[in-house]
Amino acid sequence: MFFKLAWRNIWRSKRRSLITIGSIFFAILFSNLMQSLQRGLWEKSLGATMSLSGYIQVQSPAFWEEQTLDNGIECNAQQVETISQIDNVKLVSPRIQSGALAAHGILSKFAFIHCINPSTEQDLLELPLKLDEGSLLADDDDGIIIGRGMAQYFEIGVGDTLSMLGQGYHGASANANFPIRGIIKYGSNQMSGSLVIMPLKLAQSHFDAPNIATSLHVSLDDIDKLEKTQLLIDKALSGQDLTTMNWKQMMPELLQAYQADAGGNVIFLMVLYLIIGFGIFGTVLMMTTERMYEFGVMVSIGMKRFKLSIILFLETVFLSAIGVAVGSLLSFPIMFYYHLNPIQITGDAADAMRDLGFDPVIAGSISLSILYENALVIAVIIALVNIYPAIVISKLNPIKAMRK
Amino acid sequence: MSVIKVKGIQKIYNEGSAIEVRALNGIDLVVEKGEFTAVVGPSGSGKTTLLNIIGGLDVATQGEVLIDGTTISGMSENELIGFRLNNIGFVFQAYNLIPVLTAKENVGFIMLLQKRSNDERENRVNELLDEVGLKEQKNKRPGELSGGQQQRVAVARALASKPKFVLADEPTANLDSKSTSDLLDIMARLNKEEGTTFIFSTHDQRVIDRARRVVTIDDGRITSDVHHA
Ligand SMILES: Nc1ncnc2c1ncn2[C@@H]1O[C@H](COP(=O)(O)OP(=O)(O)OP(=O)(O)O)[C@@H](O)[C@H]1O
Ligand SMILES: [Mg+2]
Repeated sequence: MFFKLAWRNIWRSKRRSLITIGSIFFAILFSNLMQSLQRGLWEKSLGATMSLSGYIQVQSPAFWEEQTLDNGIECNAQQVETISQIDNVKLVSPRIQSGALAAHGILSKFAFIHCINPSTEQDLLELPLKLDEGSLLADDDDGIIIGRGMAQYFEIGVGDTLSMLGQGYHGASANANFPIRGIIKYGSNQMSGSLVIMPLKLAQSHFDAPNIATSLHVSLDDIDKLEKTQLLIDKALSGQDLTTMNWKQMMPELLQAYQADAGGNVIFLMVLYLIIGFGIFGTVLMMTTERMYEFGVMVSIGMKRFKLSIILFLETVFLSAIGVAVGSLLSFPIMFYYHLNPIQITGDAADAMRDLGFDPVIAGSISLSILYENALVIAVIIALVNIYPAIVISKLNPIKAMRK
Repeated sequence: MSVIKVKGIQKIYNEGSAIEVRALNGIDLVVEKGEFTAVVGPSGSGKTTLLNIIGGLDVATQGEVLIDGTTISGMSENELIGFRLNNIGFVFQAYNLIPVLTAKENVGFIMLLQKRSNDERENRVNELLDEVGLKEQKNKRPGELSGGQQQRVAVARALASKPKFVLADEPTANLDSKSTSDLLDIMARLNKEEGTTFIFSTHDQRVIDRARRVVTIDDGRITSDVHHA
């Protein structure tokens, strides 16, 4: 009965209700899409960065201060297995990260050597997608993959060799030539010009560091549970001479940039929602004032005030539920479309993004939390807006209300 | 036992201020079950004020109101709402009905608030709509009914839960003479058939003529109280 009353009441002023629903619909659509793109950009950029750094790293305590192979850790299959079993841990990969001088002919250049176990980690790094020329690596490969930028610098291609000159484990020298198996495109200019991907096995013999890794990289299923998972890993490793760092600790600048970007959006959305909130409030105000006589009659004949408030509350719930439902239903396919068909950024904006280390593409995030977070905002607005009619009804004097 | 007992009622608006109004000045009144009583008097004499106090919509400055032996004077706002729901039927001058509900739903509204069973409600609503001659109109909303038809629906609603009495403040004030006499016929018949106690206020001599008891007030006092056979 209450539902019937509320439902019919909202159609008493059809145009006003449609305008209210429409404004909620647009607010939802707009904020969903905006957040989809904003988060999508970050999810992708973070994902790319994290595929190299790991969300959490297990290191030797001395490593962070002096990031050399000498401060690496002994790989222990048992330990890797233990961490893998922890809730929310997707993959544990021992990695070696090291710098070296890359040389070809008379040219030389700094190279950032990143060593992975190809069979389990190539997908994580999206190497199959990024591969521009040549082939991927096998676990016991003796070749490497380099970025397009580096290939262009040296004017070399697949099948050519590149020399790596550097230091190995405990003072050993590590100089060798490696055949180039593949060349990858990399969004970030810096990475494209310096990244060298090498199979871990090859690296361990090249650096004369059998069974050594600079750190264990942990990737996660749910990146929002970062700190929680880190604690669990810490617990599992207690008593051992190891420490963990999450990406926020390792890359505070990245965290800051993310927060600044998200913060800008929040302010924008707050203004949007404030406008919508006042719009809904206006509707509620009119729905309340123009029906005082009717409320007077209802209370006179014996309707409890709180029941009346519930009807008014339901009316705004209906209005917003329609707006939110239609808005969400429509935004999801659009979000999905931009997820599958990322927006390609061109020109100066693209260069600016590359300098930041981002791929100049924005793919929409399809995280459902965007939808329900925005629906939640509307729910909070509805709750706040209903304070007014609740007060009016609680103070309603039926005789006064019915005196026209 | 008397349905309504009013003892020494005074109502002073804006007490103590320069615009103080003595709307009721010592009213004593007893209404027995089954009466068909008109409260009459010139404009501003205090009819509405008296009916509102009897109906628990307004509170007297002094005096006591007993409904079926229960004093309502000390009840809280919320208790009064519940009391009105279960004991008193109301018919107002106009716009009595909930605009988004059909005639049928309006008549059943009070029983719905009382959580009566669907069957009971359905039967009573149909019976009453038949009584007030609106069977054909039961699915129309108030906006699709004439003023007279709306008042008849209001009377049906007031009677639906078989209240102790029905209060009607100038129920015919907005009606033409045909609708007025129709409504009076219905009220008189229901008074007879169901034994419902009616108290209504009016200015209209034709309505006064139909009452079996006429209480006249002037300036907040009862000046005459006449029972007709
Ligand atoms: N809320 C109020 N504040 C101040 N004075 C009021 C208020 N309500 C009624 N009065 C005054 O009380 C007196 C009685 O009013 P009431 O409405 O009971 O008269 P009435 O007999 O119903 O008149 P009418 O026939 O015009 O409906 C009048 O003088 C009126 O001005
Ligand atoms: Mg009056």
